[in-house]
Amino acid sequence: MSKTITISPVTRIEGHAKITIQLDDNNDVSDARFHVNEFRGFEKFTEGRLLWEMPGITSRICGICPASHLLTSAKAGDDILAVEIPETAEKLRRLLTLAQWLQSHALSFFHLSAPDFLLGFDSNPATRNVFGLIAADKEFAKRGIRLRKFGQEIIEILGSRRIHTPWTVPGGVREPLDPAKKEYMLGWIPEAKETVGLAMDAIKKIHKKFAKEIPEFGNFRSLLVGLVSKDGGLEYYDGFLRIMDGNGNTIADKLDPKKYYEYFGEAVEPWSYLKFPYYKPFDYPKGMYRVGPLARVNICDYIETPLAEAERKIFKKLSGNVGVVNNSFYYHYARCIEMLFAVEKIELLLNDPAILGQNIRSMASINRSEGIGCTEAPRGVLFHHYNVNKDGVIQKANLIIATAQNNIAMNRTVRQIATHFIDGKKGKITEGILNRVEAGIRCYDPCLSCSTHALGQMPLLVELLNANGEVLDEVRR
Amino acid sequence: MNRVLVIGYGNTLRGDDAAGVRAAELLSTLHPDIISVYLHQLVPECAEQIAECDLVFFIDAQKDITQLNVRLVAPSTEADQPRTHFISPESLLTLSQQLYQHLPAQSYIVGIPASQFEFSEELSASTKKNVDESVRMIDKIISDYQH
Repeated sequence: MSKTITISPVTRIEGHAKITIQLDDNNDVSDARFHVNEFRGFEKFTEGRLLWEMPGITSRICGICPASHLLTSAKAGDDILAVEIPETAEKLRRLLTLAQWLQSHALSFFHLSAPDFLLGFDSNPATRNVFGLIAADKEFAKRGIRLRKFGQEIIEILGSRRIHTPWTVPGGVREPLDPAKKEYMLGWIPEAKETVGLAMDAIKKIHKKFAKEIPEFGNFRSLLVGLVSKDGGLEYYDGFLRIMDGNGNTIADKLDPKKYYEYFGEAVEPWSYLKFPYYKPFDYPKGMYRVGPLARVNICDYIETPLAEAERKIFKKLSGNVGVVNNSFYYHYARCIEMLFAVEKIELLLNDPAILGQNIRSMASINRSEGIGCTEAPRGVLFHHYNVNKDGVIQKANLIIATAQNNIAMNRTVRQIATHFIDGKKGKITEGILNRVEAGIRCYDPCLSCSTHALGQMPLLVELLNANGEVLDEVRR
Repeated sequence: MNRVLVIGYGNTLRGDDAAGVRAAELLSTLHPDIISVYLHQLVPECAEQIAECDLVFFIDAQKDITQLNVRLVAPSTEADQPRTHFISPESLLTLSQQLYQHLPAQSYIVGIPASQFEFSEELSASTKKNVDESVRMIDKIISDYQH
């Protein structure tokens, strides 16, 4: 009889999820899936609310990436007002985006993934966490917390609160930047650069330490999707969509993010609340694509800051002859490169005289019935799409979250790792192997509490399947 | 003056889940000198702030209880592995102790009975009453501690 091994919840990712690994009669893996259990109905909840409330409301969807929802929502609002926001407002919004990247990436690298890397996949699970990390390298753990704090402080300074700040609004931002606060933020830069340098040193040692295992960590060809600037640089706030294939060929470029629905469809599977977005021309599931740091650093032609650009060039060499880095393990390296970029670019933005401008908001009333906002959240490209009536009341909202866009790839990663590491003939599945499966998911740093947003699709169903696909047991709730 | 930190956390879009945040907001009005923090969830950097305080309250909505649950809490790593989304008060105290060599003299978990977690920005009537009661109890603990 086949067996199903369940790992639930997946530890050290944001939100709840479950992985099932199905074994066949020989104890070999026949399938593995990443299930999302948590259910939220934020899109439905926002119907009937005013457009101007949307940044404040949607930023409360998630406690980890509120600023990304805030910014994307405000951009959808800009579109509905049909305004171009002032230069200072755009620079301040860019600063906020980078602060969000920094705090989120620092959490992912230093606290969620570093315990696996520095303590080992097979180390004692009771201490394979941030406390074990503190025991092994206190300074490293402390630095990680402070780097995250720097990002959070920028968010708090700009918005008066660390989370759920309504500072960004359709048309711009509410308050200009206080010069004293600018100087305070600049004071953090030397320490932040040093800490990112430690992360960069660590990731290179990690690559050597896990050289034998890395090839099995979600190593497959897929499409890569993200924003690039007008001239092809790494982008985080605006720009065009670029789509690259697993051979490094750009198959679509300069796509308008406001027409996202022409490029991407959303499939549904009965075993997950999380939708499965795919690239329409290739259909589901062949249209699998990855977003986030791995995609962004792969698809851009350059990074505008010098230290990050130097690292990007080293990163690209990992691709060998293919021209694109296809291994999901290198999400971590890409994340470190983006942390470096964020710190460098934050310094540039703070030293730009325009950041202290007083013209920060374009005022207008409802000029369009539909608006779409798009930014690069830490985990990848994020879309907010609203329809409003003449008074600006939301009639319909659609949010396409980064984590969902990695859904097909995350499932592929789980299957690959499980198939490689679980050898039924040995008759033993160690905790360390199960942890490797979880670590495959952590590459993507999924944030599921904001991803699971579709309302009323199915009840929660837990199934136990045998090798013939017959249901051995089932639980509904 | 002893430094008092009140951390109220929960999702303010999910009805009674906002109970901790609402209680912390009320306490900040009552005691402008205390440090009040409102969060969606506990996060690792709270440890640094905890390490600078003498009296700390973690206030959250709690399911499956009918009466206010106020209890002293000590550092521990057994309650959970830090998962960030669910990092516990016990883990935060451990982080404070291990990273910053300081523990508050007293730390409390305040569980406010809550039952409705649908999409709403309103507390249920019973949870609202319990929020008020929690504020009274915390106020008394703060006053007793400071005198």
